[in-house]
Amino acid sequence: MLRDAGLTPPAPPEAEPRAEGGLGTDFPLPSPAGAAHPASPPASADGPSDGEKPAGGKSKAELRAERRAKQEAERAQKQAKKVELGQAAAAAKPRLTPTEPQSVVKRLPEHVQVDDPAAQRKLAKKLERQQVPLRQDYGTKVNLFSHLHQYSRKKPLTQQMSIPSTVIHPAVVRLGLQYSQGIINGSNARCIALLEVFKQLIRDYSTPPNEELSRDLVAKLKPHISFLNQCRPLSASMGNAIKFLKKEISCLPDTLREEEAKEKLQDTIDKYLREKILLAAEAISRSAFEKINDNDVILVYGCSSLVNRTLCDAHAKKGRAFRVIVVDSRPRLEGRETLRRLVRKGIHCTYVMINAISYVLPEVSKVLLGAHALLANGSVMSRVGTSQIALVSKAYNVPVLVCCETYKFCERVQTDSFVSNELDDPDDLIVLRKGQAQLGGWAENKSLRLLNLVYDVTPPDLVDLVITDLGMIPCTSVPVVLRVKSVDQ
Amino acid sequence: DDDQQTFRAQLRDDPDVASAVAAIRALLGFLKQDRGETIQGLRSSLLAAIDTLSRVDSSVAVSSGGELFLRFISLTSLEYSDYSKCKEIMIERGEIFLRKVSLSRIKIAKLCHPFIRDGARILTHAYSRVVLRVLEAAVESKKRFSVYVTESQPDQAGQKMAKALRKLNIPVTVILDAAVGYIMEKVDLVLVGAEGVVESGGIINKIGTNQIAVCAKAQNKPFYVVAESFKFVRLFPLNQQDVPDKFKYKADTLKTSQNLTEEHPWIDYTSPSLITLLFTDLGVLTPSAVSDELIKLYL
Repeated sequence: MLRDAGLTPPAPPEAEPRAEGGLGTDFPLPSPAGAAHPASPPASADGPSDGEKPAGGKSKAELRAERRAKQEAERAQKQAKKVELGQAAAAAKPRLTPTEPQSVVKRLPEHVQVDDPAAQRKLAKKLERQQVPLRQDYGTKVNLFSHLHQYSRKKPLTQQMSIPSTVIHPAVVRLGLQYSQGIINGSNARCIALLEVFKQLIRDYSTPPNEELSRDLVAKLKPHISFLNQCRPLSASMGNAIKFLKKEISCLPDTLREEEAKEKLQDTIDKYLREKILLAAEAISRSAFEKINDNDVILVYGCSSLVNRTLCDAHAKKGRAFRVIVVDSRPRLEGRETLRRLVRKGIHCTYVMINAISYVLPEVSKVLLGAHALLANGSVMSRVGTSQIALVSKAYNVPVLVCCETYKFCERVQTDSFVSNELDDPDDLIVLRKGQAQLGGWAENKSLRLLNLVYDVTPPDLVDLVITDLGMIPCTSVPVVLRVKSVDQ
Repeated sequence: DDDQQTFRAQLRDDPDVASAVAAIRALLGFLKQDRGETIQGLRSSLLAAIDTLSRVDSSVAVSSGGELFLRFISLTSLEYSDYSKCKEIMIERGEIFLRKVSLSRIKIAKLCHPFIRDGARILTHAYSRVVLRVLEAAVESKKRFSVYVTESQPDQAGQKMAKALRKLNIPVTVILDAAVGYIMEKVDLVLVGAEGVVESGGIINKIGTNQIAVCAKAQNKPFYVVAESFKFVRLFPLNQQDVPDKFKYKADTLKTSQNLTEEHPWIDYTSPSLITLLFTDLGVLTPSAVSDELIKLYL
């Protein structure tokens, strides 16, 4: 739609839509055909005014010259006018480029702008360009959360794709399905699975001719990341891992051959997995062991791989006798998995639902929680229900300990659980009792909305201690750790 | 043991010196006399020396001071392959550390005394040499104020403090430990020292400090703590139970007693939410900034 005189046929030149940015400019716009010469034939805004060119009447060069002369004339006029008005500043800007907003406006991520049609259109265009299907939202949402996506598990993204997909690697398709159906759950598990799949992607990747691996690979990863994001919104741990990987890829020296570069990338990913996740878990387990005293009663919530590992290791060391109270909540009922794992190791466990916590808390000596992410103001983002446990524990004066690896630390700041969250399938709340599906017909009822939140944010003053692989820190020191880490890198 | 003798002698001769400073001086002397040949050997013998010293005086400050001394001198030891050169450098750094540490009280006094306004009524607890220094500085800047001191059983340390304050011509009243809740409405601010500052920003101090802090919070009075930076220790107690026994009871009690539950602890832990500000030679810190400083010191 842009006039690129070198490429358009001479036949109906003026009938084509005029160039954008109508300020009589000659700024270079890249043509959609992807030709790599942005500085060449300037798009003009003279549009239909040139009525004097019958097909083949004048050559292209002459037309161009005429147009340029006209533009110069117009510009001279405008300049003269501006000088008259005494605007010295404008004279310094001979190119009347469309002004960018002078202030740096932080762009909101798309996933919290679902109710903004412009943002959604942009997303749709981007996905179309990457050839990734757009997942449709499902069901009426609660007003307060209408800015978030809500998907149905019964409509996976793969139904809209052709199999085999030409753009998305099959391992990624499988991973996406595992995420969206809830087969892979938990922030560490998702991140590990993601990095393994990326390793396979890199193995199967081959640089096309005339391309740089460091640039092309990043571009090839983008549609896969968009696909996974459509299947299930990326977690903070996955986001950090992807950032790390992109940085590693773009920092690859050009002198490496393709095979060496791919080896190097695989090694870096392995190192990241080993150091940031596996070794960190061991370090945290050791630090947390110091906080477990003899005859302790420890309360845990949901299923956190780190907390489970800490408790199993502490039990194996046989130095301290302790028992565990596992708190669970609908609809995920992840506590059952924790219960299974702990009981198998021989740890004495009690199982309660979250409504019973004020009943059990008087006998609890400490609360051990996992985290999905730690935000820059010290807030803890974790499974929904965590902040409730922290609040009631504070009221009973029970210390709350959070275990979190440093790779989950985010630069984001959040003070509430509304701004950025994840809405799970509302149909999960439908429960079968005595053969009847309670809430089964919720979609037909106009005044009924179901809300299945996944995360919530616990303010830092409810948390007493954060155990990380760098040691034990108070919640308010998270930005210090982020600063130290960025200095290291 | 030689070091213990030097240590005890120092404490006897100069009662004004902090026990941690005396410990560091003793350690420096020990370092100078050490006959070992390897860095590792030196490190392990220094650790043993710190251990023996803390058996003499089981305060938090001695162990934290010792650990910081060790870290400070070993920061550059890895650069030179010649052991004697390393040792020289370590001794030099040890002297620097000692000098810095001896000056810390003066720095703290300078930072803290502006917070004492003319006509203020101050509440303090037990005997703290840093608080004494701060009040001295306030007197020197021509401020008039009065002080309430708790008696601080079981060793009546408050009486010692009162005597020292009377020598400075400050009007002082000794109150019962149990009278803190009664007197709190009359005071303008609470100023205490600390035996140790923990990672969360809380403090470990003579028993009774926690009660004063809770009363102060309930009546919205500022609670200020003055402590030198060598008292920062890498502990993170969650509650009173979590403080290690070796700090709670005197070294002899730990050795001789049958049942610790019958002994009275000498210190308690005050949580950071009750503390308004900490005055240290690193500056005026909020409790959450203590962790930043510790990360800088230790990482």
